[in-house]
Amino acid sequence: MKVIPFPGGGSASPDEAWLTELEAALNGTGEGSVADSWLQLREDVRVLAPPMDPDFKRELGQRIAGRRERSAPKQPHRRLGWLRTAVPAFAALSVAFAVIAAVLIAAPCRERREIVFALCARGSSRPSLWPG
Amino acid sequence: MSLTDHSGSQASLATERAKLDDEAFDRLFRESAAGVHGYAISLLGNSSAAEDVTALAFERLYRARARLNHRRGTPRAWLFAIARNAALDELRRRRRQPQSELPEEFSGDQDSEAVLEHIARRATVRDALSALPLREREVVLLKFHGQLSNSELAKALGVSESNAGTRLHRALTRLREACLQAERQEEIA
Repeated sequence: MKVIPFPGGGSASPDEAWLTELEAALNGTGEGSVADSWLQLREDVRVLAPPMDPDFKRELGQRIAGRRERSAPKQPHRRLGWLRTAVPAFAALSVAFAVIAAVLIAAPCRERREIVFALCARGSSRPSLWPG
Repeated sequence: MSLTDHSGSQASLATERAKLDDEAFDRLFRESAAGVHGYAISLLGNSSAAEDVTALAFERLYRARARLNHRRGTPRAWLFAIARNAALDELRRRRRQPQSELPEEFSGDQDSEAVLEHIARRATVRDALSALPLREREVVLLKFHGQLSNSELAKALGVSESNAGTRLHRALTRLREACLQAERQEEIA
């Protein structure tokens, strides 16, 4: 059997040059037999894995796309667009009505109170029955 | 947003803070789905489990895309870190060694000497890879299937860059020795 040309030396720990050489080879920027053998080894390892089922990839892509659509902020329907302006206006009108109603309800009471105060004031101007 | 590694000095602050937007995610999916699947099936030896890991990795990354901190790794490094955790969880859950479904033979014309050489070589690599301890096999698979840079590999493994370099060197040295040993055994046989 043909001996596999294998890249790299036999040193115990990697030096910067070894890592740089490996990186360059795998990026396709390295040159020479060592770089080629790194690429060959990577190809040999990668080809061992069976390819991904195209149906699975398509389904996964669709699942992710569906998740994205669900998480996207929803646009209001054009026909209901008038609601966007009507709702705040309705709220403001409601507040205004509530204030007017409160004034109208409170007004007779105030009048009553003023009448009571007026009566009291008139009463206090009379001579006291008690010794001063 | 770039999917490649950035050194701290070169990457602008804006780039570092950039989130993984939909377009970048789609690109990452197109470019890396096969790599994640290849890594997972090589580690787990089971296509169904590999599909589960691949789906989980992309879905988790998608959910976490707004929280990604580019300073702490590229999206690709995050993706493979998630895939790695999921694959290791799967191995732990099953409490068994990976069962290889990797192809034993190549189809097609096997008559030519070159093809036979390729078959022999890949069989040797397959046996050598299987003989590696899990800890070293996953480094090789991450590097080759993920096409990760050394800094991305470090992020995916959750170790320092120098530690990742040491592990990679050790794993590839062992792979080399295992290949040579397998060759010697075949020669003797």
